[in-house]
Amino acid sequence: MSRLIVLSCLSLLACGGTERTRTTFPVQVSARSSGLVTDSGWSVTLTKATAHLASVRFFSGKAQLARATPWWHRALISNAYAHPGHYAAGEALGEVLATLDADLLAGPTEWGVADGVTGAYGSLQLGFAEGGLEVEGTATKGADTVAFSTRFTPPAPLEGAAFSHEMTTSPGRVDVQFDLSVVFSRIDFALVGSGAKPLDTMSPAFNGYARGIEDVSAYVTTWSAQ
Amino acid sequence: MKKLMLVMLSVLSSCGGMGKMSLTTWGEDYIEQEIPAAEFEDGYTVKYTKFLVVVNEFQLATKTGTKGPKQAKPVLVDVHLAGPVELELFSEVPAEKWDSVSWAIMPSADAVVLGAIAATDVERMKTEGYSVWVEGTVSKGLVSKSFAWGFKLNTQYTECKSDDHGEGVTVTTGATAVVELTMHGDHFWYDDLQSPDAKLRAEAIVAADANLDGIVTQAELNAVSLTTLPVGQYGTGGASQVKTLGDFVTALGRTVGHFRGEGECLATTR
Repeated sequence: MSRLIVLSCLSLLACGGTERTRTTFPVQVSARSSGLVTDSGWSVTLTKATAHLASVRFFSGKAQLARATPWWHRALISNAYAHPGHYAAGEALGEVLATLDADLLAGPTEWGVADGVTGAYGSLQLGFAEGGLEVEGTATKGADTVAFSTRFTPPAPLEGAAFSHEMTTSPGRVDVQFDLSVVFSRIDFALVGSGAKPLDTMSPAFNGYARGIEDVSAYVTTWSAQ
Repeated sequence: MKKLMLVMLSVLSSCGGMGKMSLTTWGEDYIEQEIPAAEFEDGYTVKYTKFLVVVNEFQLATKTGTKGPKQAKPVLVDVHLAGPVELELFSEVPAEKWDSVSWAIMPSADAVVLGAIAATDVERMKTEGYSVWVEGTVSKGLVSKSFAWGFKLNTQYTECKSDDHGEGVTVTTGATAVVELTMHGDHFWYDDLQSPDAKLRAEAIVAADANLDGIVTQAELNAVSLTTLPVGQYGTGGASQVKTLGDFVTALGRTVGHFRGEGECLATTR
């Protein structure tokens, strides 16, 4: 269906009257995984971080959140039509539909070549395959060390991650970087319920992990010209 | 048909004459009367008893850079009281399509008070720097909690548009255009900051009353980590610093300002 939408935008003056040109661009996945410290003060060292991915789709709609610094004073829901539920994906402009098991600790991983069209890109949708984001490691706080393992698969593709770029036919590359500091920020390893390896899925710690994965600011997407 | 009418209005307005514009605000039935149980996923009802907002910086402009009349003074108004209420009448407005309308909800120490607002409320808004203050009850069956929450938000709304009227407002010669800044009281109760499937929900807020005194305070909301609430509820989209129920309700507070009913503006936090 999505491919159909993208292809329909290839025709002149399609999709809202904007002229589009077909283009392709490679997409890679990377991660920021060092120096992870949770909000509750746990230092996290990962021995495994695998993202099981299914799709990434690019849209014209702006993400509902633009980061700014310092956040608390400047940015919350900004530069968007701020209304709960009012993120509008807009036009489908490109996609990679291929499963990928990306080892986030091993450096950038090529995902595939996106079929797309030119135009103003505003956001992306990230689809996870079964397994979602799977991690193992240790968390340390003072004299306490907790060995953990867990995985969480978002039940639906994550929508509205920011990617602001005027796409042309110029060569370049999209990098979807997983900011694992965001993914882990909400986890309190003192609240692991019945166990940490595997992490009790009813525990506040697992809840924080799931919320971290569903926080679309954890996916920092950039364009690099080549 | 609607587009044709908008085009015709634009043509009519481009005659070099002058018109008027009445700036109003309204809280609609959700704030004046109640948000009925049928609107809530978990069957609660919300009744506001106060919904104070400070409206400021309303500005007519065009995308080409022409500036029109601007709001003279910030206004403090209680949109729980029967409305719509006129905030200001702009009596000399060049007749044209003002397609770049902006305004703000922001604290002001010198806001003009409109309507019957208790002196203590006015004093609190001005001296403590609130731009939004809401009071009311949330109830279901025998359970009833009251709340009184203040927000020091400074939110600028720009590029306002509505489905019914298009971008901004068209002022025609000899006529009075009405622009309503509509406050949406249901927004404080949404359970997601981004999802199109966001629902109105109150159970978590009611349960935040930790000391069981029947009052849900903002301190109690701030004490509730979102990680203690079911996954799938209170999603934060990309707002990664929203960690507590208090943060969440505050974030929703930035979204109460709308334009001409269901119309929207770009909201920017300042």
